[in-house]
Amino acid sequence: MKYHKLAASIASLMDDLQTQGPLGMLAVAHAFPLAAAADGTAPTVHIFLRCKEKTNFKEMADIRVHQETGKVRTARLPLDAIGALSEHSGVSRISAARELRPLDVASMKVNLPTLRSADPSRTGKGVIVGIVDSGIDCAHPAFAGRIRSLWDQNIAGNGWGTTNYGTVLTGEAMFASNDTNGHGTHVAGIAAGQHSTFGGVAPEAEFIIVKTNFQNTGIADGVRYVFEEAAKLDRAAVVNLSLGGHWDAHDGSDDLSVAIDGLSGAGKIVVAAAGNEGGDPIHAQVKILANKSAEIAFRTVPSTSANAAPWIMLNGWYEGAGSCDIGMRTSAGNTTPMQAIISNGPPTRNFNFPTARVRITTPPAAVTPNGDVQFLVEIRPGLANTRVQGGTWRLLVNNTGNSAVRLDVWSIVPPNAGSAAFQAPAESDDLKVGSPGCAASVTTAAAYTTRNQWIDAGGSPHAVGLTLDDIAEFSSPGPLRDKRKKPDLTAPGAMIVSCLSSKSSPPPASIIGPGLLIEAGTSMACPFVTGLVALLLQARPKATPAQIKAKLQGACAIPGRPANAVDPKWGAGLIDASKL
Amino acid sequence: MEYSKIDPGLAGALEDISPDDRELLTVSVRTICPLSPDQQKELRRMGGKGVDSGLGIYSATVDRTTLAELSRQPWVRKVSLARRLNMS
Repeated sequence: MKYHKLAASIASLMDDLQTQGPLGMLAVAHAFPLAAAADGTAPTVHIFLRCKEKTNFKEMADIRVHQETGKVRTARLPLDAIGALSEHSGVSRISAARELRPLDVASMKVNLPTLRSADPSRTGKGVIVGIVDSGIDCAHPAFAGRIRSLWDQNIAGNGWGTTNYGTVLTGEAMFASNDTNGHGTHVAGIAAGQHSTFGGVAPEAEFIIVKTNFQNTGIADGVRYVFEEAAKLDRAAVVNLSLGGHWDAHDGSDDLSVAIDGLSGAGKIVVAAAGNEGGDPIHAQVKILANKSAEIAFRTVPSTSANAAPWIMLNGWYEGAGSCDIGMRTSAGNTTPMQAIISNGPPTRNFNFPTARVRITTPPAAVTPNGDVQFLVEIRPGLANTRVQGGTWRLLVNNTGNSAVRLDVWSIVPPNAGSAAFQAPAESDDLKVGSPGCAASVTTAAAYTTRNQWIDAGGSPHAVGLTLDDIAEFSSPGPLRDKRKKPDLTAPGAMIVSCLSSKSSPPPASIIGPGLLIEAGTSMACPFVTGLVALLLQARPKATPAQIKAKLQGACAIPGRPANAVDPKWGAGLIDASKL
Repeated sequence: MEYSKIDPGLAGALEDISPDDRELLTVSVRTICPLSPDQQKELRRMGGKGVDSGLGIYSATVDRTTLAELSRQPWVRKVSLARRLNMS
């Protein structure tokens, strides 16, 4: 036995085997899963095995190694074969498998068990949790009997009230609506799922679900639906919006943000995700002096790439007193004329080149609700292609006004397409919290990494390159364009285990067990906060958005920073549920 | 069409719709607040949804002709193209 290769977990089990024997050790509860042998010999244990990459274990008959190559493998073997395995020259370390408890890592790291043990009645009972998302798996046992209604905006019907689209479903009819994406089901589980071995933050809250069409207008209608239905029940409600975009001014002046601000109030709270563009070069910022010019370069992937974009949009903003001419140089070197603000008639001009079609829209400031100037540049492939050409493109800007302007531009591509990546020096890793996370009344959640490795249902180990116990690298940073602070706080967002929709088809690596899926995103941090809001509303059903936000932020801290520190990535910091 | 009330996204989308095209666009309509009963009725007639909420921002599904009529109403402040957001 090479004891120096045994982790404490395995050494402990070996000691039990020696002192208690096979039957004796099975009679005692262990922290590590053991399977009894039918013939009473040593129980079987699952292990992690660190070894040389190409080590071959086939000659070791007692040991079942699940991977043929790799430096970290999983295996199962009888405990009394551990000695022989440790003698193998290719093996450097053996450790026992741990039982995965979904959410317990996340909830422990924010002291949720402490809050629960202090007052077990804090379950969200009596509060409505609204999930405006991809739907919900109504059949999942985690939600049994607690979904009051489901408005599916995608099924043709008479809608509700004077909002006459989609179909409202209740009771058994809700099963006509499926969550084939799985996102909404996972989110709902984090907020308020109920299960013996995992559970959401507010396991006795009830749900009102909106399977949205993901248009910002549909989302606004969805928020209104939840609040109006909750009002009929005389219940406080919190709506979860694990979604966002970059079509807006990033200052809360857009229609969705303003609509949410108007709908929110006492007992009507909205929580939104900060976004997952941390580190993604989707934002550029330049300061251009009067009568000077700037070029903002961005790169696109080759048009033959699998993720080449079918279109790219640039959403640009500068202060209303300014005046800029906008142009574009394509990756093939074609250049549009410079286009000034167009105050009369259609403000759009189209430019067709062999490899690209460029549309530039430059309306005056009077068009926008915040009084600033917005312009759009839409890039589509040339008529002979279906994808935007790869290479370096340049947004051209001439400041024709009398004073300097600060220009912010966001690049937008369809989901799953490679981004139009802004280049230095204009690329700026800030101002990435878009609508609805930028709404003033909304509590906006950033993501924290509580787990970066897991074992899937098939026994295969997985790991992601996120720094454990730190802000998730993908979490979008603020502040807003008008310098207001967002996000508001941070909650566990990677890697989070929650409910798996039976109508979805996730990759096997993400499936942890029956009805369980692991995911990451500020989408996961958002419902964690939503669940906490439900607990707060349970005690104070008339709490306002400002009161809720202040209570949450008062329970936050950025690790290693002074109390009350605020940060563009963390907001007020990681939530400590024990302080709520 | 009163382009001073049309957001750039909607202005761009209109480029792809000919004047007699009946293609429908989903838009967000920002109005004065509150709307009079007659104005609410007009907005409903032109496709506005949830008008009785009094929120001042309403979704609507309109064709180009109706959009032009909507943009010319003095009680309409701004009309924006609905945009698809992404799951986070």
